Amino acid sequence: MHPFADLNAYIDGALDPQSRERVDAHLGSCAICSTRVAELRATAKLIAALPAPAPARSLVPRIAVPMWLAPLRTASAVASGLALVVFVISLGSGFARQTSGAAAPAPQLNDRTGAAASGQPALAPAPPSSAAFSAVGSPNPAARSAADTQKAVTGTAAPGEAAQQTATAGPQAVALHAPANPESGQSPVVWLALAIAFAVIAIFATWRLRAA
Amino acid sequence: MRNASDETNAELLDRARRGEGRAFEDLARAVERPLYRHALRMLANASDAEDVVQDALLSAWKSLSSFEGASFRAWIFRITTNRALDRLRARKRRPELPLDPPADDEEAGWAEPAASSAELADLVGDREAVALIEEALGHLPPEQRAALLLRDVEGFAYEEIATITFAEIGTVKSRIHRGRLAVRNALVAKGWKGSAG
Repeated sequence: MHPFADLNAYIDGALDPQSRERVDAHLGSCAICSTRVAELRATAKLIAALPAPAPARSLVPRIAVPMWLAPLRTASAVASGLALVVFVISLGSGFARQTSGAAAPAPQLNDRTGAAASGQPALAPAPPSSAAFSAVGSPNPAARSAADTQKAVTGTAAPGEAAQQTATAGPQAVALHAPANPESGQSPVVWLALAIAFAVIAIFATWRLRAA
Repeated sequence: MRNASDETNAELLDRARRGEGRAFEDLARAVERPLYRHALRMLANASDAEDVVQDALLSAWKSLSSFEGASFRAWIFRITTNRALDRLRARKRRPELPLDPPADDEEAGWAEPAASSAELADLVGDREAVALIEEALGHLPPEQRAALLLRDVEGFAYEEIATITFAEIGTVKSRIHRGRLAVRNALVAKGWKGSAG
C-alpha cells in the first residue's frame, strides 16, 4: 500500500514520528513513491521560486504623524471659526452702514488700520455694538467699536492669521483718506477666504490624524 | 538570520503596541512585499491585491492592541489571507460558493510523466514552467491555493497555516496535498519529470 496521501506532509516534515518512519521505510523499497516524492519536492521548489512582483505603490499606511499635527488642527479650527464670526460681523456692519448712509466709510477704513497697527489683544469682543453705534449715526464711536472687534479677533487668532492680516492691511492704509465705496468693501470676503483656508487646513490635519 | 530579524521584530512590535506609529510602519514595510505577492497570487489582480494589503495593514494597526500571538507575521498573513478570500467570495455571484471541492475519499489522480522529458528540478526560472505553475495555481480552489502558497512560498508550518486560515490541521494537510499534487500533475502532464534520489 503506497502512502501517497502522506507524501506531501512527509516532505514538509509535518508527519508524526510513527508515520514518518513508516514512509521512510516504504521509500527505501518503492521506486514509484521515491519518484513522486522527488516530483513533489521539485514542484514545491518551483512554486517557491516563482517571480515575486513588487507593488506599484507603497502599501504601508502612513501612521507616524508629526507632533504638531494635532495642535495645528485645533488652532486651524479655532481660527477658521473666528474668521467666520468676523466675516458675519463685518457683513452685518456693512449692512448697518448701508442703512445708516454717510457714517459707513469711516468705520470700515479705521477698523483695518486699527487691526494692523495694534497687535494687543482686547479682553472681550463686542460684536453687536458696531452695528448699534453706526445705526445711531455717529461716526467716531462706531469706528472705535469696529476697531475693537477686529483687535479682539487679531489677538486671539493664530499668528498666521495676524500676519496675513497685517500684510493685507498695508495697501489699505494708503487708501485711508480716499473715498471708499461702503458696499464693495473687501473685508468680509477676506475673512471668508481666511475661514475657508483655515478650514481646509483643519480638515487636512483631521484626515491625516484619522488615518493614523 | 531569521532569529535576528525576529528579535528586531519583537522590539518593533513592542514599540508599535505602545502606539509608536513609526515602529509599526517599519514592521509593515518588512512584510509589505510578501503580503503583496501572496495577495496577488490569491486574487490575480494587482489593484485588488494592493487594496487588500493596504486594508490589512491599516486594520492590523487599529487592532494591534488585541494581538496577543507571538508571530506578527502569521497574524498579518491571517488578516490578509482572509481579506483576499472574502474578496474572492464577493466576486462570485452566489454568496456561498464552496471554496473547497467536496472531499473525495479516493486518492486524487497522479498523472504519469511522458517519455523523454526534462527534469523538474532544472525548471527554476523557466518561463514556460512559471506560466504553467501560475495557471495551475489559478485553477486551484482558493483555500487550497492559500494553504499551498503559505507553505511553499512563505514557509509557514502546517500548524501556523491552520491558525492563519482558521482550519483544522487535517484540512490544511489535505489542502496542501491536493494543491501541490495538482501543480505537479500540470507539470508532469507537460512532460517534465522528477527523478528519485
